[in-house]
Parts: sequence; structure tokens; C-alpha cells
Amino acid sequence: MMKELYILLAPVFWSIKNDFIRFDRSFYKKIFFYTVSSGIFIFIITKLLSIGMVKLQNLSADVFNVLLIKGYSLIFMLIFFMQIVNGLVISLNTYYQSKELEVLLTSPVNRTSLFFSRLFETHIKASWMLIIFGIPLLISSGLLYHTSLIYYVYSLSLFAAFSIIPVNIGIGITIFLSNIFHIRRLKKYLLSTGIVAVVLLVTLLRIFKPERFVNPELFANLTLFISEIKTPSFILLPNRWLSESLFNYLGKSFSSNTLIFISLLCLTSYITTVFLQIIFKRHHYRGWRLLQEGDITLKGERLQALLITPAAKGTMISKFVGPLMRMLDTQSRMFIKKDLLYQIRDEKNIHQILILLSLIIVYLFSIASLPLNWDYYAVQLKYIISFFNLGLILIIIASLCSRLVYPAVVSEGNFLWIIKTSPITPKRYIRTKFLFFFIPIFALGQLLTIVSTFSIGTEKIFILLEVITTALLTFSLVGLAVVFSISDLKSVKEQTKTGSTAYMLISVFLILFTLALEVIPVFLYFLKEAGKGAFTLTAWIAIGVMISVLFLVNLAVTILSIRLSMKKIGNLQLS
Amino acid sequence: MIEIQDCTKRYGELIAVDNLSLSVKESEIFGLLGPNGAGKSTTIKMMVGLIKPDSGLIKIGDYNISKDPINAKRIMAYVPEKGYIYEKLTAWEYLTFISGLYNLEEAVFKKNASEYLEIFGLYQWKDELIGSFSMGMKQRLILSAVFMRDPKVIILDEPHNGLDPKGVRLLKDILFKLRNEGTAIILSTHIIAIAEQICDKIAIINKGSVVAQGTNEDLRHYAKSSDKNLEDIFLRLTSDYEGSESL
Repeated sequence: MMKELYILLAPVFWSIKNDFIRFDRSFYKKIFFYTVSSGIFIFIITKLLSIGMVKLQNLSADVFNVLLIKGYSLIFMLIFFMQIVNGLVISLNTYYQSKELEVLLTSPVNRTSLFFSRLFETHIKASWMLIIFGIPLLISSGLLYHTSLIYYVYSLSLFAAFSIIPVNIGIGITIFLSNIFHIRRLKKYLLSTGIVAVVLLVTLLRIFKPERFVNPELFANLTLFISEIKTPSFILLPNRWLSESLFNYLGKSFSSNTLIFISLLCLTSYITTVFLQIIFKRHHYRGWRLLQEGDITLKGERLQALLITPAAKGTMISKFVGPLMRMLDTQSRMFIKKDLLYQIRDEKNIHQILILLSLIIVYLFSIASLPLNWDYYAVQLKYIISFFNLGLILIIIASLCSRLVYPAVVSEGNFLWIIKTSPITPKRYIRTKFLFFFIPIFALGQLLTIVSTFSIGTEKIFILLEVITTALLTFSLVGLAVVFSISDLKSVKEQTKTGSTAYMLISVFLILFTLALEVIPVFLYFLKEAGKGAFTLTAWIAIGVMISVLFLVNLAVTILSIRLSMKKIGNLQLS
Repeated sequence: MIEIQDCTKRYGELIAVDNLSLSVKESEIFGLLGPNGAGKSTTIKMMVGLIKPDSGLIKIGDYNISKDPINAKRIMAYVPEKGYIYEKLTAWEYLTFISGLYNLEEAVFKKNASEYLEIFGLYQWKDELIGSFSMGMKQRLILSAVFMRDPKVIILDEPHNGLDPKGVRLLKDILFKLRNEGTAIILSTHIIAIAEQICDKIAIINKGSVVAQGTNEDLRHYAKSSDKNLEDIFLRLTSDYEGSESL
């Protein structure tokens, strides 16, 4: 079996060897980039951990040990769950979608060898988490206790045994789920769930405010402080076994209990591997076979389609969208319907939207959690925050255009022959594209502006200014996104995709220009509010001029973008 | 119905199409035959408006494709060599989209679309995503989208790619039927047997120019080789190939 296992793993080693000895520049660049960035990350985290630990140690030497074990246990718990997800995601590829599986599963290879070769690959691929997060934890604790090199070997071995458990659980879940869902669909669900989980985590962190623990003096007493750090410390949890094993060694209190914890770690990792092998033998092939049969269950897509296709007559969405659509001509209507269906069914878009919505929720949550009792702060601060808020909303709109409009237009590169050979004018095509993206982005921009400005408690006149600015900039930013994406509109193979970067640069420039224009009226208003000035005729003229310039610039940018897009699409040649 | 006069297209130094002229009448199937890189696809792409000619005139029906592209495209249909279609739409949604682009009446669309999906054996798959279709099924869908519109001019670039023998036969029968109903059809192919069987007239293109055009008989006459088949005529006119004896 060992020989077979070696043969199965050989391609992995040979590929790495070939990359090394053939001096492939891109490979070396990649290695350099990852080594340097991980090195910097590990160094920074180690440094921060060491500083934090020294600070806590100064609090009280007795309490420090309790806190340290609790803190490490909490981090190990997080790593444990992250490794489950890691194992789950990586095994989708190593156990199912890997191209060589077709060859391997149709060859007379022993199933056990196949299982272990895949297991080895999954664990190696999942080990980055241990390197990135584990090393700083182990080094900083080692440095704190001035320990010998043996500690690092000991702790790394324990850490590896600890990591095997969650990765095995993750692989087991994948094999189990692959018998229920199609693997491709499972991947989509996992990505979406992952994004939602990150949002929940960030929101929870904002509620929990972990930064409080760096300043224990904020708590009324030490008992309260310690009781606030609630860590799952159930005796049967592997994070407890690891933290006990490590700190018993560091604190030189190695006992029979420590040996039990080490044995539990090693035994559990062995048992999970044995169980995983049984699950693999019983259930893996069915999931893989389902994958080969193709994803023919289109219930999800059908459901999405039902919302907007004619079959959806009478639904909420059709009641809302229907009258709007009837205002358009047939060609535009068909384009919008097609784009709507296409965007909804593109899982990349769903993820982009989920990420963006998550960011927006976190953003609004952060704005809402700002200290709103302005008496403590200067009036100036309110205006500065409002001004930054406007800038951030405009950046969100630009990012939305860059992440949604640009890829959506550019992805049509392969289908351009349909558009170019059909009797649709460039004007109608561009107008439809513009409208399709403008309406939702405009609505979202306005919603963000109104909610955030009300949360900050800005004056009504300032809210009006922000609403107008966001509206004007939405026209320009969507227009620019359309023209830049049309510039990159070639067949997918020929696309350079530089338009997205160029778009962001121009957008940021336009946003800064707008903010610079608005500095004067805002400052004049602030002076009036602070009781240091009044709205004179000159002030009103200055405000009028600034608003007019803002309006004209954005009008010009929008019109020019649309005209240029029409010209570009008209002149586009598909060789 | 299709008129190409003195068309030239250059890509830098390379002349892809050199002063090419040809015409296709109603009720005629015209074949463009030529070796790889002869300029067949460029000629077709100029006809459908995907590429602009550097000089010359192209008329579809009564419309100049450069000056009145919308009207020209209204009466014309195009089948590309490698037709990418929206993979995240179902077959029926794709046909609905195309019917909208060409402003087909709903009743006509439903009747014709169902009929052609049935003919091409796709009706049972009409609600499945195109992404799950094989290459041949996608090609059949593109053909259904073209034929359901009942266009006056049909331009096909290597339409047999990806089709199985049944599909090839089906396409041939439909093309004959449409030809008999008055449609002007132009197709490019590198399969000489197909050109010989389907086309009323053939133009042999080499290095961007028409080296010979006419019926099969005309071509034999031109090649002064009554005993040779179209394959020999084609090879003689387009290359220095002297036959298997030279191997």
C-alpha cells in the first residue's frame, strides 16, 4: 500500500520539483510574495501578542496565567472551527472536483491508498492556517516563558494532532453532504454561508467589543473582567486539551493529567481518521458519481426564474417591476429581463452582493454605534464625520459599479455577436445597460445616505446636500462604469481587464473633486452653526456657484460617458 | 439579396480580404469554400456587420450594411462558427430574448420556436439551462433561433461544426426548404462534400480573393478538368498540392 500511496502522491511532489528546477519566474514570484507577506504577518502578530501578554502580566502575575490559558483556549476554539470550514472547502476539490480523480477512480488503485493520498493533500493544503495563526501563538508564548527549542517541536506536534481533528470533521461533512447535494451546488451554498458567517462574526465582534479587554481598568473589578471572558472550557473539547498540554509544559507543571490530554489529542485524531476512512469507503463514490452525472436539478434556478419571467404574473416582484417594464420598448424589456435572469443566476454576483450587503450592514452598524451625544465633542466633529460619511458612501457606490456593472458588461464579450448582428441600435443598448444598473444603485445610494446621515444626526440642509450629491455622482459613476466596461468589451480571451482599475482611479478623482467643491459651502454652514459667521450674499453666491459647478461637471461626465459608450459599441469590430 | 462589391479588409500589413466581389440571389444557396485563413470568416463577418470593410460595398436586400445596419440586420440571420450563447438562460428564455430583439409577434414566436425546438430535438430541454447543453445542442439552439425568425437572408459560418450526422441532415433539409421558399443563403464550409451537395453556387476563396465561382459545372469548366471531382478542383485552385503521388 505504501508504494501505491507514494505513486499517488508523486505527481504533487514532481510538480513542485519541476517548478523549482525549471526556474519558472511566476512560481518564484509567487513563492517570494507568499513568504514575505506571511513572514510580515507572522512577525506583526507575534509582536502584538507579546506586547499584549506583557501588558496583562503586569496586571497580576497570578491572574495572568488564568487569562493566558483562557485566551489561548478561545483562539484554539476559533482555529478549530475555522479548520472545519477549511477542511470542508478544500476537500470539495481534493475529493471531488480534482481532474485526476477521473483517472484514479477508473484505475485499479486501492481505495485505501486513494483515501490517504487525498487526505494527505487536504491536510497539507489546510495547514496554512496553522502556519499563519499557530506559529505566532506558539512563538509568543515560548518567548514569554523563555523556553527551549524542545517546546517548539512539542507544541508543533500537538498543534498538528489538534488540527487533524477539525480537518477530518470537515472532510466527513463534505462526503456526507455530497450524497445529498450536488457538489457544485454545495460549493455555492458554502461560499454564501461563509460570507454570512463572516458578517455575523464581525457584527458580534462589534457588539462584544473585544478591544475593552486591552484596558482592564475600564472594568469595575477584576472578577467582572475575568467573568466577561467567557471561554468554552468543557473538558471534552480539543481546544482545552491543547491549551492544557501547552501551558502545563510551559508552567513546568507536567503531570499525569497532561499525559491524558496529549493522549486524548492523539487518539481523537487517529479515531477521526479511522471513522473518516469508513465514511469515505461507504459514501464517497456516490457523491462523485452524482457530480459526473451533471447538475440537472435546477430547482433553485427555476425558482429564481419564476420571480421574473412571465410565469411570475401576480407575484410581488412582477407587480412592482411589471409597470416599470411596460414603459419600455420590447427590445429594452427583453434586454433587462435577460440581464436580470443572468445576474441572478451568476453565483459570483450573489457572492459579490452578499459581501457588499455585509459591508453595508457593518458600515451602517458602525455609524449607528458612533457616540451621538454631540455635547462632548466640538460641532466641527459632526461636520467632519458627515463629510467623511459622504465620501465613504460615494466610494461604496464606485465599488458597487466596479464589482457589478463592470463584470456584468464585460462578461457579455463572448455573446457580442448576438447584439452586433441584431437590429438594436447602440443608443438603445447603452440606454438599457445604463438604466439596468442605475436604478438599483441609485436606490441603494439614497438609502445609505439617508440612513447614515440620520444616524449621525446631521442638519436637514446637510442631509439635502448629501442626497443631491449622491444622486448626481450616481449618474456619473454608473455612466463611467459603463464606458470603461465597454472599452474592455472584447471576447473573453482578449480582455485585458484594465478598465476596472482605470475606472476606480477616475472615480476616486471625481469623488475627491466633488468633496473639494463642497468644502466651501459646508465650511460656511459650519461657521454659521458655530456662531462665528452668517450667510451673507457672498456666501450664498459661493454656495450657488459650487452647486452649479457640481451639477454641470456631473452632467457633462454622464452625457460624455453615454455618448462615448454608444460610439465605442457602434465602432466595435469582432474579428 | 446579398451583394458584395470590391470589398477589402486589412489587418496591418496582412490583406485578409482583397477586392472581393460576389452576389447571392433569392432562392439560392451559395457556398464559400477555402483553405484555413483564406478570408471566409472575415468576409462573412463583414456581411453581418461584425467587421467594417476598409473599402467596398455590402448590401443585404436593399440595405447597405454600413449605412443602414439596423434594417439590414432585421432581414438577416447569422450563425457563427463558434457561437457562444448565454449559458445561464434556459433554451426557451434565450429564444424569447431573441424574439424580443427582432420584435417577433408573440403568437408567431411561440409557434415557430416550439416547431423548431421540436425539429431539432430540443423541446424536452427547453426549460434547462444552456450551460448544461452539449456543443451540438447549443448549435441546434442557435439554428432554431435563426430559423424561427423566418429571415430573408441567412448567413452561416461553418454551421456543421459540432452537429451529429442527423443534425447535418436536418440542417440540409431545412436549408433546401427555405431556399425553395425564396430565402437567400450563404454558408462557409471546409467540408467539400457538403458544399457539393448543398450549394447551388460555390466561390472558392484563397488569400482573400475569389479564385473561381459558379455552379459545380462552371468550376469544372474553369478548372478544365471534367473528370475531376470538386475536391481535386479545390486543391488545384488553392494550393500547390499535386496529389498523393507527391507523398
